[in-house]
Amino acid sequence: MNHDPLHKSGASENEHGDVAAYVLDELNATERAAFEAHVASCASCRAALAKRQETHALLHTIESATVSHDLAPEILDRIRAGRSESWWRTASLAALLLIGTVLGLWWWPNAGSKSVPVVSGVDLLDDDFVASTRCEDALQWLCRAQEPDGSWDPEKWGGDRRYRVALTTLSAMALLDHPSPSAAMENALSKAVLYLVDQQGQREIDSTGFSDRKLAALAIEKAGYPLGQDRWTSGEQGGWAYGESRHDDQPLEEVRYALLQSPASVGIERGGQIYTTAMACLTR
Amino acid sequence: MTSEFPSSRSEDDPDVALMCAVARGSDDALAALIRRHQSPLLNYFNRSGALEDGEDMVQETFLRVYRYRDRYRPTARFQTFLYTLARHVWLDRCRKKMRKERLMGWLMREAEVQRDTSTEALDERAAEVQDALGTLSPKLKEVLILKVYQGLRYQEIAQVLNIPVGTVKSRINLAMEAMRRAVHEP
Repeated sequence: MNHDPLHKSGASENEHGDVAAYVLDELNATERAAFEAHVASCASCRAALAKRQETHALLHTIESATVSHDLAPEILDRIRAGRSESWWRTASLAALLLIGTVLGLWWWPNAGSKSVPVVSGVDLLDDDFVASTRCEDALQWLCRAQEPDGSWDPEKWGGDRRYRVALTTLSAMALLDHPSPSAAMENALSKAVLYLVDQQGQREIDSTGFSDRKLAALAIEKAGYPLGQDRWTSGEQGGWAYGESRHDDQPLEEVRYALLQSPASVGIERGGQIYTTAMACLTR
Repeated sequence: MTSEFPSSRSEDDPDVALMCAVARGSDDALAALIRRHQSPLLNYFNRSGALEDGEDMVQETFLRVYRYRDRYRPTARFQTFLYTLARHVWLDRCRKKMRKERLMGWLMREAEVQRDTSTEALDERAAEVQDALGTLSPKLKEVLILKVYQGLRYQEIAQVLNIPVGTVKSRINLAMEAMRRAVHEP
């Protein structure tokens, strides 16, 4: 038995591990009896055991909290109302589908010989889709297609510049939904959100209207950037602002509902059947 | 997210039957699981560092339990499944918080990002231990919390974290030693 189990490594770790395993009740009856027999005759292990027991007791000085009320009714209500995270997940997956479709099917032919992963088939709108190679490839492609200022430029792919905020927002939403984004994806997301933040309050922005600004605000909020309040308003100078009391501000839930209609409002309804099917997924 | 949650020793776990009922569509079974585990889960999130929004994360975890109900396999103890999902909720929360810090241009160490500071409710000694817990690296802290506070077996922690059992053992030892030193030699 090692005589200084707390400060040596290598072969002694097993012995050291036995001390913690004993304290933490990880040994079976036979192992436990053997350990106790050994400790009775080994002063250094007795000392190690005392230290571990003291630490274990210290750890239990933290009091346990109790949930203030029964959460079950609230959670079940959220499930029944379909207002769980899956709402956003489905929305952002549909956004990725729409981006892939828009860029891949219509705009990409103008871009020469490059290849783009085309996302199609709404039957893939689930977690397997998120983890799929095609989804991963699509997101990596999105990162590579990002402009230095953090946006995605629709003009580059044959679209109208007014869709720049919308396209950047949808790209950010798709990146936001990745369960374990790479460093490159996180970096692209940060740049995209900062781009969107920069647009608020701008006199002129590449946006088609209030709907895609609301969508952008939602993406910014989802990314963790502090908006301050739960309400968004149209900005004084054509961008957007938060927290001001204006006649056209809307509560969060209304904004979220507006999101369902945003792809159409920003002009990417050209997806035809795919878009219609995606919207059906969003609203069911 | 793994497609299945293999585990062992599920035959003695009463939660397994409840979770199977959830998979068949029983709201009552889900409510029973929530009531049995909501406080331990709250403590898991609190001790991980979320003292302000722990209940929100408890709710989010059970929403994921419901969402992934079809992926649960009764070969696993329910806690293995539950804490795998809870850990993902926690990591998502940390990622969001770190993203926020980055967006705000604040440079903070990971350990600091994961630690809230509202410890008023704890007595002095407990606050000292909570602070010491907050100084552990995320890897050491999570094994210690899952073992000491949530009561998972080494084998189950290995499954939740997808690491070898030997790694769990070594991290537990390092974490306990780090805690001892942090409290006695701050």
